[in-house]
Amino acid sequence: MKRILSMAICVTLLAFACITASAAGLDANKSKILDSLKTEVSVGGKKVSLPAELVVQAENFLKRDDVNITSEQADEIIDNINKAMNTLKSSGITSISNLSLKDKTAILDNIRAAAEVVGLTVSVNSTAKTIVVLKDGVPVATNEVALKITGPDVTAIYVFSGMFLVLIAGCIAVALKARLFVK
Amino acid sequence: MSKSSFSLKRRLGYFLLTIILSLIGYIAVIVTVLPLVSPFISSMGLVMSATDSTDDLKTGSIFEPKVDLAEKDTVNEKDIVMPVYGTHYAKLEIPALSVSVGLYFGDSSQVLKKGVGQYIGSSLPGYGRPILIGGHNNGAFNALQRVKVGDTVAITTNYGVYQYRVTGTSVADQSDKSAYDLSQNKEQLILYTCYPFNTLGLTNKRFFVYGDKISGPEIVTD
Repeated sequence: MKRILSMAICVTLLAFACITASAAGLDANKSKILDSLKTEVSVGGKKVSLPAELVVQAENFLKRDDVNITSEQADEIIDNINKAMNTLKSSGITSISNLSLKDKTAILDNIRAAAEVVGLTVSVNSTAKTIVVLKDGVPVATNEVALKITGPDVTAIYVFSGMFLVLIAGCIAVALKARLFVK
Repeated sequence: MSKSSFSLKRRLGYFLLTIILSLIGYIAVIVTVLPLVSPFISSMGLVMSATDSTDDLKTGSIFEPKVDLAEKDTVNEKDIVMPVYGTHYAKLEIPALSVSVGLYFGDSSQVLKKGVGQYIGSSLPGYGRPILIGGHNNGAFNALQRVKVGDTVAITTNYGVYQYRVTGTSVADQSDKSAYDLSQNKEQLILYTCYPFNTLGLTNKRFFVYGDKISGPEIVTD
C-alpha cells in the first residue's frame, strides 16, 4: 500500500509541476488539484490515499509565489493523476513493486507528461525506490524518508584513515622488499 | 653482504619502523579519542562549511523579521512568502539552552551544515499542523540532551513569532514512524537529532523533542 501511495505521490507531485507564477495561497485551480490528491481511491478492495506528508509537500509547493496554475493546466494535471490511478485500480495491485512493467511504465509516462507541462523534472532512483520532483534542479517534493542523518560527518576522518593505512602498507611492502625484517 | 650495506639497511629499518609504529599509534589514538573530540571537530567543520564553494544547493535567505511582529493574533496567508527548498526562512531559539540557529526549509546534508532543517512534508509555523525539524547532534541540537519539559522554543519568521512549550522527549528508531505523527491536526513542534549524542558514525536512533504551540499568530485566508 505504501508503494502504491508512493507512486500516486509521484503523479501528484508531477501534477504540481504545472507551475508558472502568481500570488501566494491556494486559488480555485490549486485547491482543485489538492482535493484530487486527497481523494481516496479503491485498489483491490482497499482504500488508498496519499500520506499526509506528501499532500503537505504538494500544498507547500502550490502556495509558492512563483506558482500559478490555469484551469486548463489544473485539468491536465488532474487528468494525469486520474490516468495513473486508473492504472493502479485496473491492476488490482496495491504494491507498486508488484506491478507489471507495462503498468509501471504507463504510470511513469503520466508523471513525466505532467511534469513537462511546467518544466519540472522527475528523478527516479529505482534502487532506493525514491522519486524526487525538481524545479530548476531544486527539490520540490520527494517520497524520501522524513528523518535524515543528523550525526557527525566522519567522511574526512575515514578518508584520512584510509590514506594512513595505505601509507603503512606501502612502508611494510618497502621494508619487506629490502628484507629489513630479516636478521 | 657488506658491512656498509647492512648498516644502511639497519638505518632504513629504524626509519621505516618508526614511521609505521607512529602511524599505528596515531590511528589508535584517533579511534580511542575521537568520540570525545568529535563534537569539536564537527563544529569546526560546520564553521568551515559555511563558506564551502562546492555547495551547489541554492540556500538563499528570505529571513528579514520585522520589528512589529509581536502581539499579532492573525496574519493573512497572502503576506507569507513560501520558501523554496534550502532557503533560510526563520530563526529557532531555545533560551534555556542558549540555542539560536538559522531555520531552513528543507533538510538535505548541505542544508544541515548551515543550520537546522525543516522537512518539506511538514507545515510552516502558524498553519496548525506538525512541524518536523532536524539538526546535527554535534551542532546546535547537541544542546537538546539538556532540554527539560516546560522549556520554550521560539521560531521567529517574517510574519510572526511562534512559541512552543516542550512537553516531552523520546528516543526511537529512525524507521519508527510512531515517534512522529505528521497527519495530526495539531501544531506540534517536533525536533530531532541523532542519538546517542556523542556517537561516532551512523546511528539508527533519533532523539525527539516535542512541543505544543503556546503563542503566535494564526494564519487566515481571505
